[in-house]
Amino acid sequence: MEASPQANAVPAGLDPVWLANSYLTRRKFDECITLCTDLLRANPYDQAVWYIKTRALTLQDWIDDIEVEEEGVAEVLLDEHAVAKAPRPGTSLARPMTGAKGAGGGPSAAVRPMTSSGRPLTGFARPGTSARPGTSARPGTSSVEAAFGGGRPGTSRPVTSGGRFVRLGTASLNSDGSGVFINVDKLDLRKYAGRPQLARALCNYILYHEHNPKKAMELCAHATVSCNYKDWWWKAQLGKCYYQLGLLRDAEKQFLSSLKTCDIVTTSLELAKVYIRLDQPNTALEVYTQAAARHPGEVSLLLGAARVYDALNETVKGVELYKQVLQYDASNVEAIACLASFHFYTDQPEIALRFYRRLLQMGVKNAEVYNNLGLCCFYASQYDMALDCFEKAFQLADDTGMADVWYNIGQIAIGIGDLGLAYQAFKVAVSMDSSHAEALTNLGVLESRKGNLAAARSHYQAAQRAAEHAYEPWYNAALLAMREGNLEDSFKLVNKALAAFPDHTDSQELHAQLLKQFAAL
Amino acid sequence: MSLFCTREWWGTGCSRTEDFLAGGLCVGNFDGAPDGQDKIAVASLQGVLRVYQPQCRDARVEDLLLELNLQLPILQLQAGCLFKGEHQQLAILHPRSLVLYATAPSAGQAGGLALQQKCDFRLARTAASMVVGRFGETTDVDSICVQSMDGQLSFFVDGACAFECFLPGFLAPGPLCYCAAIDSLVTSSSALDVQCFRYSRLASATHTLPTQEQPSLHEATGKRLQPDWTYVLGEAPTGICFARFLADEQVGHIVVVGERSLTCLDGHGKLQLQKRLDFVPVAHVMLPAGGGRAARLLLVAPSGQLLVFGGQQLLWLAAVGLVPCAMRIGSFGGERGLLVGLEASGKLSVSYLGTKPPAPGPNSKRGAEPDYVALEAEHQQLKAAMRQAESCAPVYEDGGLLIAMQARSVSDAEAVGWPSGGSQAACVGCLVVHVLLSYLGPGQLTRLQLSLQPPAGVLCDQEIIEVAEVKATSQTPLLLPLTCWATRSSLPGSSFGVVGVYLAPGGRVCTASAALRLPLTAFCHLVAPVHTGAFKLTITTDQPPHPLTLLFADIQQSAQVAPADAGNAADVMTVQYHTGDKATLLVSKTAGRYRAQADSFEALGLLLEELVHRLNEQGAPPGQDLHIFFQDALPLQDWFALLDGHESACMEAAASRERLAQCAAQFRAAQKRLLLATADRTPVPLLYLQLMLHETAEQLRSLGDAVEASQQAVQAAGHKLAAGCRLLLLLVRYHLALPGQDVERLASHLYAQAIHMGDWEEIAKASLAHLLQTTFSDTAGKTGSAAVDAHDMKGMISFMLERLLQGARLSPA
Repeated sequence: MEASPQANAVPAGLDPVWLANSYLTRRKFDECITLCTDLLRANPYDQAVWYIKTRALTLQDWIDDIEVEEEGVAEVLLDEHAVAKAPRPGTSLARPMTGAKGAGGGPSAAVRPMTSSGRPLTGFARPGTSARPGTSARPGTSSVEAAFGGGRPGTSRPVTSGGRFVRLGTASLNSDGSGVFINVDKLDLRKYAGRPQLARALCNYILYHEHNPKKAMELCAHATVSCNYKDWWWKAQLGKCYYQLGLLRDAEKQFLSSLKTCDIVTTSLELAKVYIRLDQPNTALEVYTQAAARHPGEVSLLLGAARVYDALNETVKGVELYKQVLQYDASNVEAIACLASFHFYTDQPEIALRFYRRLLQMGVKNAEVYNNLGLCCFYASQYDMALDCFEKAFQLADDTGMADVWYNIGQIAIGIGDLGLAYQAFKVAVSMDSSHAEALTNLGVLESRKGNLAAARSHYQAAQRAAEHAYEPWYNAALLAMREGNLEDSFKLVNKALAAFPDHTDSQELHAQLLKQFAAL
Repeated sequence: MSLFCTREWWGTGCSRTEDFLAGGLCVGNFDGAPDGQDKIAVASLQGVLRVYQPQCRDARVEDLLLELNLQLPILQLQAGCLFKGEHQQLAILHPRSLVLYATAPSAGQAGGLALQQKCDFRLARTAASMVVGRFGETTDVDSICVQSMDGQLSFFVDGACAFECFLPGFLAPGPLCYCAAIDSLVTSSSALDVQCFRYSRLASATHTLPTQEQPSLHEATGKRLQPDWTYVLGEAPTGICFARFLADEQVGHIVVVGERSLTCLDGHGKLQLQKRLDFVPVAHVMLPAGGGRAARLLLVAPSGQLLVFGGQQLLWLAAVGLVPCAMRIGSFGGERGLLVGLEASGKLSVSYLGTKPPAPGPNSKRGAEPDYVALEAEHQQLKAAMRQAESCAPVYEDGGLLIAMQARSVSDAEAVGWPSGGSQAACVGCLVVHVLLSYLGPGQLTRLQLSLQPPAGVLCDQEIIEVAEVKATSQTPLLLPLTCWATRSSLPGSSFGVVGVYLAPGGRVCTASAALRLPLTAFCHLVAPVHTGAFKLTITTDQPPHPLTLLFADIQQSAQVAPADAGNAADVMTVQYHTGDKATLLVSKTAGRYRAQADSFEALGLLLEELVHRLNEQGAPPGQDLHIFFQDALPLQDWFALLDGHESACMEAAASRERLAQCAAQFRAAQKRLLLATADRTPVPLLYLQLMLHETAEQLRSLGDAVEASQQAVQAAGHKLAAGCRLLLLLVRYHLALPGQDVERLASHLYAQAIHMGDWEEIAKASLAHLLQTTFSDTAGKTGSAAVDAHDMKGMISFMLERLLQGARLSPA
């Protein structure tokens, strides 16, 4: 690798505005902003420089808001949309386990790890979709706690409203060296709405840099009027402003109108996002499928639809879509990862192995891929490779991943019968992540095999606290209580296990047995 | 690294101190060489122009054909047939001038090139970018269109300036592209859209505007120039190309590479294809259509990936080493379709799409067989460390307390004292037993409670000793002296047991125990030999007999008998217990036979035990084992006599208690009648009542004494029975040659220690019945329960011994 070149002197004779534009196109935003600030100090009314600086500031802070979907505390608490209190089965994202069984089901919770919201762990980590606090079905307190909890284990930094966005009002104090660049409140938005060259850049600036959707909404409204409702872009931006302000129905109207004017893929994606936020996954699916029919080969639409199917726990349909994605884009990491995990959990580790190998060939090398490779090798009986993969995973893993890697090593140790190694591995996993529910549950099982029933019970309790949605700690604790003769406790625990996973046959049998015992009393 | 990557065919570094931009790379045959090989022209912002011609793999010095500093910053470099009838020339755009150069072979350097300036156009406005194309459907010469920073388009044809016009609504320069099929210039304005201007319209809209003081928005005066069509893209494009990108009938498509998307429009501005990208392309190049296939677009992502798109589909993905800022496609050294990439740091490389098989990593340790022995040792070591670190459990499984006992008989009993119990007269001789406690584990143990179990015939002053804590010591153990006395009341047992219960540091309750063989000298002393005895038992060994002076040296030395009376001490020895019984031991002169004689059956017990113990200690010559046999019939009748004695004593005691109870009832009745009579108003002669009371009281006293006496008799009988049991077990062992643990099991079932409890008989009968029914097994598998009367101890014992004699053995528990 060559060292990055030192900043060379700007040659004489070069137009500074051209240079600023060149920095902008090369995405060197800091240099561009500095240069533009100097130029504007010399000539404050230079609109070209103003335009370049606006775009530079916007692009610096720009994030792809079609992907990011962190729901903060405010959204959870203040969500007032009239969501059906008792949605029909399969129509709500908040109650994913009620979908049609059978063909749409995919691997059950008995074999596939579940996330806290009750849907199976997909193969791809996306922001915001792994924990979705529902608006009505889940009890309010737990979802607020989940929102406060944050994504990583052990952290409790709450995600404020707007997710990763900076809090409203402080972005304008963001020092760009010259105080506030554009004082949005003082702008005459109607005047700017009539100038299309500046208006669009300004709108983006207000949305992405200032994070002021109200002001942006005003500007968009004026601009839409001034172009006689013929411009799809202003309608789409208006919809985006409404979405950020939480006026989802208005956003939906705007996006539909924009789509009628001009069928753009991003508009369809944003419309589907609105429907997902409104907890109407079937409508979102319709949007995705219709747009995909109009734009064949557009991978993001297929991926969006597949994600919604995953969220509804209809993994088989999602898998079909992932396969289609791969036909168009053979290097899509998300599709490969989700297909691989689907095949792994449906007892096809060799196929999953091929997918993960493809990821490695593409150059995606991180601890997660090696961990999954190790598991696939083990279950596909390629034992020589399995431990090598885990060693590689160790080298690459950080703290959050390490706990999972050690947990999987423990699983493999159980598979080969080395319970001592399994015990040690689970202990290490718990030491790295004290709320790793699966490792705690397995530790409890091993302790109860050794006969330390008190230790087993305390491990199960820790696992229950860490993951209320998992049925294993509840079931194991119920079994332990029943063996000790504590039927009352056992009954309570098995009910909780059934609440988490109603189809678990062992829990159902235990439940029936306890009922018989109680009836006999 | 990805498996699919670009492999470098040729590479060189242009300069480290210059800035290279996307416009500074041009590939073409601009010296008109007849072989048609391409050359690469690289221009930096500092004004240095270099021309390379890669000819084969790996750069050589000769590949640099030209290196010239033009002293002016170079904004863009293009090649084209700029003059009629000539081969390709270079057009170089400087901020305020456009210079056209022709190249010719250099005079000085063989194979090199020299530049000849053909035209130099001064530009009135600062230039932004330029585009070269056959505008206006000319067929033979390329025109140049220069875009200025304030929106003026200047057209130069064939070495002369043709016309200028202004773009409407211009604020900042955007990418410019000429589409030959529709003869239009496509550009993007600051309103984030794509505008298409037909060349003919541009040409007819020529006018010069009075330059305004502020380079702000320009309003076209006169004939307004309007774009043919505008397409709102929604984002700023980074590049516009024209090629036949989709497989349809269109002659070409306008491909707009946006920041986040790829848009394909047809010639009329209709949307044909949109594709969302999840990266911002930093460089792009279009591979023109040819050979029946559509055009391909190559995009470079900042993560170092090169993506090849063909219509909807991603055709190929490769990893590039360093991310280029400009890319072109050319043919060099006879190879076609090589990728030329220029990085901002100045590295120029020509590469092709290929793959690099992964190099075998440093896996040297895979080859050697792992050393399993060392691995196992390390594993055990780690497990031990883990176990130790995991809990504070001591290393010792049993808690770590060791109890040892030593006995010393003290000849001077006066010095030590007497037991507090008051039975001073019954005690003879004194024994000091030292209990040594040593604790080997970590920390200290607490609440140690030692309970002493002296054998029969030994009185100890304490039954339970409490020790608050014992620290871990490695040198001297803790010493607890105990004083014991031998009593006259019964024949002594030999084993003094101590059991300690304590709390280990981890909170566990642990036990430890020890047993001590008390020396024979404490219980008996040597007397003159007595050659007669009612009971005789003979022990046989297979070794030559040892003289008694050797075996019982300690007794004979402590004897107070005059040597003259000792007789032949080697062969005969008589000892007298404190109870008064005498026992004699005779040794046969030839074979290894020892005979014990005594007047009572039980007196033989201790002597024989001691004899056997000392014989075993004496051992055998090396290479041989000592075997002891008892070949006579088992003296069951003697033992049964003891049993009967015990039983009768018990019954007698019960009978005397019964009599006492009756007498007591009588006494109470008499008392009541006396009271009633006294309380009666009419005086009644009471003499006979008082007499009855006195006599009954006398009777009570005597009966009480009788009960006490009978209880003592029971105790004595019990002692004798216990001694007899021990003797019997010893004899059974050597008669049947049972292994030690079987004998212990029998002993535990017989439970001789409990003879002093009230219901020993029931316990022993039940356990013997259980033993008979469960553990005896013979070839027929019968347990023989039918033949055993479970209520008869004698019957059970005889049956059991018979079965043992027949060869049945206790099955393992």
